[in-house]
Amino acid sequence: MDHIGHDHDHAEGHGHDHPHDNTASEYYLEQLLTILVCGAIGVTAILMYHFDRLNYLLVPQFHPWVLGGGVVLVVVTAIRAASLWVSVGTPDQGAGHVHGPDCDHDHGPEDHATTPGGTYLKTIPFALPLVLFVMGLPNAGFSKEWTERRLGKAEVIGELKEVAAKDGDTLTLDFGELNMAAYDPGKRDAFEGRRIRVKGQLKKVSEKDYELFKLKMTCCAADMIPLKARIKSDIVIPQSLFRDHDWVTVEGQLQFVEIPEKRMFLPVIRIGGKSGLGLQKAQPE
Amino acid sequence: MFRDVQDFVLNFSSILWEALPFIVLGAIIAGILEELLPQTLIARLMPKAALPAVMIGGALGLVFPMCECGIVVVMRRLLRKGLPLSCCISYMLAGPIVNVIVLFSTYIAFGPHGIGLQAVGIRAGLGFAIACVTGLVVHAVHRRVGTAALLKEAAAPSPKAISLTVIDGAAQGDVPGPKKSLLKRLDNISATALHDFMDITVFLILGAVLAAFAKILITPEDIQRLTRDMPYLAIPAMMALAVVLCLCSEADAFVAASFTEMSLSSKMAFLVLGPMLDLKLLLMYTRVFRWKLIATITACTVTLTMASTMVLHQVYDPAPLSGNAGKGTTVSAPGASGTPGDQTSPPTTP
Repeated sequence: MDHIGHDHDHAEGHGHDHPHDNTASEYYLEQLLTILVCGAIGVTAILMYHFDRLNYLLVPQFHPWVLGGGVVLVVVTAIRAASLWVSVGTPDQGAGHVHGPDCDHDHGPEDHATTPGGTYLKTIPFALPLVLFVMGLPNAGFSKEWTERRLGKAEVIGELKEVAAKDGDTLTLDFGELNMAAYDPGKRDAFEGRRIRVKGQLKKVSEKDYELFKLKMTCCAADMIPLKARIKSDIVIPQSLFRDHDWVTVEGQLQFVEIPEKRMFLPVIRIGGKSGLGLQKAQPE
Repeated sequence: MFRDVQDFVLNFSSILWEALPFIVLGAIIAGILEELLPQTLIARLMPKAALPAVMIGGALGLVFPMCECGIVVVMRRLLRKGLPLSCCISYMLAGPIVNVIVLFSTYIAFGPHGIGLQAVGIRAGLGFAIACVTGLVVHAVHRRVGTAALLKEAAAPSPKAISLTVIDGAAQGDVPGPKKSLLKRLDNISATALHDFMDITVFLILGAVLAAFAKILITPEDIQRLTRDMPYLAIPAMMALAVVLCLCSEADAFVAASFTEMSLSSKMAFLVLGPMLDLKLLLMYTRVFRWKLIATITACTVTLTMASTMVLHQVYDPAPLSGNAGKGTTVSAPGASGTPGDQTSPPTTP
């Protein structure tokens, strides 16, 4: 049987393995499958970016990378497809090429791991991300059960000591800033007693005690960690208005409570009293 | 059940789509290397002795930063071009740790805890040392059993590649071939890139599936709860978590820093082992290495990580920031330290 299917050169030695004892049709089928799969993944990446399907998956800084990866994949696939099209029927380098001692390219070891059957098997896993895309998944964040499991039990903080109120406008803090401040003694001193405004999600501990949390994504959904704070109210928070996992904006006096067994300080926001409840529903992030 | 599926899909998709651009990048670089890098250049540039070669491999990440997914693709091509196996291994293991991007993110993650520079130094130092020692062990094994026993055919040096053990003066591989057009080169690069992309991404997908399943069963909070009662399990538990979570080395520092209850040594075990060995990497390795070499790499990295972090625990365990309580900081009533995490226990007075 003639060796088939080197429509491309090998610089020195095989750059990759593919079957040498196959017919032309099997070789071209293998190449076509490769082009089809890689092209499909590339197009899917571009469409994921275009239709904002990456929001649940990756931080915004990674979205252009996915787009770039998709574009590059499509371009490379197009180059390969064009080359394959040209090579069909070419006597020297397509079907019918017989390898001999004058060949200027090498033939690597006879690794027939990528038999035609093996190629078909290799393409099967690629179906999963493509099917998920077609089905429009994922279309939501993590489940409440997952979030509850990550939050764990609320820390016991006991009765709070009174902290002298500090003058100044209400500070609007990002949850990340609040979390960072808890680790910095200087920032704890600066912020404690100030009125702050911060946005997060609620989880009830008791009638006057709620956890405030936000899931922080560093690169992708798989690395999400919960950032936590606590809300202590002087009055009962109406359960009819605020349910677990609701997004809220909290405005109150900030203080920090040490949790020795967890080697951390927990931000606590005191609300209620003369300035009103200090809790308002907010748009989800 | 439906919620588990939802969480699985989210975990799987996020791991896959985050890694994919870097696999593409790695595949393109692999194609370029295969087409343009002369066989003898590496052999001429690399030192002949194993120790300097693995040390250069371990430091290559500073010059060619690459995440752990893309590095497998690139490393396979470098192997075929004659880069010594030991050097490839040390680059593959250290590259995802000893690079500017990862070290910077480590500093950012641990900086607020007052140990930014220490975390960077320890992570880089341990990663480099473990990679080099593993490279030397692989070198010794390679000398004993040969290439065929360790590498898959697709990764073995090509017949015209000249290894360091045989290079001497003028090389056979330097015979120039016929000049190729730009289009021909582009075609060759694209063929190699697509082949490598397919080859590696299959195992990325399978690894992401495994990792997504594992995340449903095990969470970081489970590990914290476990080690609260059995602190001697902290290091092995964090190592197991690193293998299961399959986080990229840019993001894992933030996850590790959030484990406020854990010692620095256990966090370092997480940060050093994770980029070297996790579920998706293990599956990708099967495309390049035979099981003997995979077992060697696994045994070396796991043993060395555990040993080095245990030593670290004995010699350096920085005080938590809570020990630096400043003026005006509120301290809770003693009832808070009664039963950790138990929201129902009443506060007690001293």
